[in-house]
Amino acid sequence: MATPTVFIIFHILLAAGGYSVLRAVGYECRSFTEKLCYGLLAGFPLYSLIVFTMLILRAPLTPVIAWLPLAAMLAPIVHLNINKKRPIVTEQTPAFDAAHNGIWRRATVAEKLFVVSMVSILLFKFLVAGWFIFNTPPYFDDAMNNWNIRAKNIFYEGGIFFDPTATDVSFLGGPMANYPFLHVAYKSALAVVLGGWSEGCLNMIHLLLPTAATVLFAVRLFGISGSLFLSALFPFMFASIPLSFFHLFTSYSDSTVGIYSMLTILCFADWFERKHPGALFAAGLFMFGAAFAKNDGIVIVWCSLTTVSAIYAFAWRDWKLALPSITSFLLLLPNSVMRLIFHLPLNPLRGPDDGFFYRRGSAEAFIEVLFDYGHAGIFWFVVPALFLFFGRRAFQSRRDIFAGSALLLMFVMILFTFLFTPASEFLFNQMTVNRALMYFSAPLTLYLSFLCVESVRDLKG
Amino acid sequence: MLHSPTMGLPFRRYFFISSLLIIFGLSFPAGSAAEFLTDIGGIHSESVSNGEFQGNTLVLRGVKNGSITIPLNTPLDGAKFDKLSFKIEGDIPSAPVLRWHVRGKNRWFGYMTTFQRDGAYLALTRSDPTWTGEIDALSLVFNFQSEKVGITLPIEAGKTGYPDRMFQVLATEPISPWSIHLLSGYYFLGFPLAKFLGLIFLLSSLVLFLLVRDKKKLAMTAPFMLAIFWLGYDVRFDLDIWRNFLHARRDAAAGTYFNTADIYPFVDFVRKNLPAQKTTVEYVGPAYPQRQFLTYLLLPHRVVERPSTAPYIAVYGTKLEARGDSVFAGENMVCSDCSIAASFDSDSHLLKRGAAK
Repeated sequence: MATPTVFIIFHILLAAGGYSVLRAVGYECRSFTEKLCYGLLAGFPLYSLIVFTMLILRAPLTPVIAWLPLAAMLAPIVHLNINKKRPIVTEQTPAFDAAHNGIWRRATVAEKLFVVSMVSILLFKFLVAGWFIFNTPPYFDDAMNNWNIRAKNIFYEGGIFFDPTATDVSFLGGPMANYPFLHVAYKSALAVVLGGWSEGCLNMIHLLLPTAATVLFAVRLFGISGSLFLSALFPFMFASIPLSFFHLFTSYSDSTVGIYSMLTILCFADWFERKHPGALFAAGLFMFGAAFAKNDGIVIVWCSLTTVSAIYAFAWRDWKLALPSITSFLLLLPNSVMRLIFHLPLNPLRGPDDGFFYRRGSAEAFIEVLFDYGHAGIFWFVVPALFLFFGRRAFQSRRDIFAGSALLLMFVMILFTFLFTPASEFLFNQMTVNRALMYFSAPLTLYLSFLCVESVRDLKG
Repeated sequence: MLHSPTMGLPFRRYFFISSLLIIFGLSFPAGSAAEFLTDIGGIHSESVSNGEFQGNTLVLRGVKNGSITIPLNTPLDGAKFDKLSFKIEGDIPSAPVLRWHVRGKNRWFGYMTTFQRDGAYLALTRSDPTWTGEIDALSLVFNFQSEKVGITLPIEAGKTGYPDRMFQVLATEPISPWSIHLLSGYYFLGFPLAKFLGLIFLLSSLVLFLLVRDKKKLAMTAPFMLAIFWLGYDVRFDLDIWRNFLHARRDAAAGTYFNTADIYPFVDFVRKNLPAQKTTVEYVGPAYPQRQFLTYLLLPHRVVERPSTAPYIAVYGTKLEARGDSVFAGENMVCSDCSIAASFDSDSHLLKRGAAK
């Protein structure tokens, strides 16, 4: 079979597998679009986890090992269909499929123009990114040598080497052995599925995930606002941040952390609105996705969400809030155990004499990085302005209080990292700082969209 | 669920403003391809207020973020240096990249310096193949601001320093997009465009918030204002994405990409001349980033550091010289008992060990 056909079949099955697992834990998707997007976004980390677990159990990387996780993920939906179990639906919300029929007709010309402009721009960006993926050679050094080279080593060696002395061969996939395996395990297995190292197909996931997340964001926002304009505006913000564009076609994991961080908050929001336990399991799965994509995901996303969950679980006597952290902790176990066995640090750069203290000039540099270079366009100016208009909504529902607190803690952790630790070194060449801010800006956009939609709804009475 | 899909947003009056802003974004002057590289790859360079040689130290004052090119009035002769050590000192918080331009090759070479407590250092072996021929410009790429930076340069054998008027002008220069994390943004009237539009948005939001009493109307207007400003900035960025695409398409057709020169054709050449089964290749040539390219792109073949006993040696952009039974790159012996298996150009070859020359 031709490589593109196999690639498409594989990803349809991946999305079906992801949806299958979400359905098994009782998470409801209300439209085909949601099923497809949620399925892909959930299937990707699950698939990667299963491949990774088999690899660290010394299984050789063969076609059977590469296809097997899909079969395992599809098993629940087969079982549920045989037993005719329907997903739990506690509330009949105006589903996208039902509502979208009249929405375009009812929209004003100006609204249509804005939406068409935003959608066209996003299509343009995604298409150009797609062109880059398939037509330009590997170029960015970190993408090649910190990420893809590990998957390529595992693919060509047929498994993972566990000898720490074999650093130049492929100890845990090669250089940067301390980096987690979300993209690495997926790409090495997909290369087996495709029957060869196909750079373009393997990097497509960096475009597929943001595309699915953007569509999902739009669909969910439309579900709660019913506004064509608002459900295009905030997803457009999320997807059009300048630095994100470069992450659409290179093999970095930073935007993945941002996407999974945003999805976690989205599922928590679902829990507060509909009280589906399935939403909490899904939140746990997505939190795992963020933590398994980059070590920063563990330190910044997992730690802040877990801390806030623990605080509010206690304050509100809502112990179920701890479920996502427990779920993600359990899913991270294979990774954590392996890290302990091989003494892999979360931050390999930290020296023994590096303490926690304020680095002179780092606050000024942080402000400069935030506002001067346009990595996030005008995003950081938009945030205070939107808080000005909609900030009073921030304390009116548990959902917004929870999400706001988690984001605040996330931001404090990012600030602490770059102002009080040796990582402040990165402020002077902007590198890690703007990537780290991507973990935060994605869920923040979602949170701001909640505040905006709720405020407008309140004012409409 | 809101009752009205448009939520009664007053679109009409803002549509006019948005059109103006989008036109503004589109008409914002776009630069040449080289300037575009600065946009996506470099930090907007400002200036160096002045500079002078003190002995063999080039002292730059009022250095701001970016990169500086220092064309030299009198080119340096790479062969006349006994010791190649550079030191960059002053109030510098991180390691800059030091580069030099070789006139004959029309190429920039350079290395990231090593950052230590009292400055940044770079030491090359005398035979470093990149420090060769006529060096007609130096360049410092950095990401910090400093009142005073001193670049201590190596001195030609037999000399004690440089003449005062060694350099002519200090100009800004685009740096290559090795990292996707570096975005310069665009400048408008000497001000970052993101900051310019962002501040206008923030201030107008503040003024509206304070002056308009009908908060309901205001809250409904805010998303509109946001869309207008965001689109205004984004359209300018999209224009550069398009230029980036055109540039890359041209490069892809030529078998290269941005500033990678002929590294991809060289990798293809090496791969084509290696056996099908996995083997090991030693690499001789500029270290960064060429070595990384070879390491990644040649897999499953392994690229190893010198010295090694690898059966193949890939030599890139380095002049070789046969002395007796051995092959040298400058003063460094590359191999003995090896032969050229295939040649890419006069300075790039694939050598094979264990064969007579």
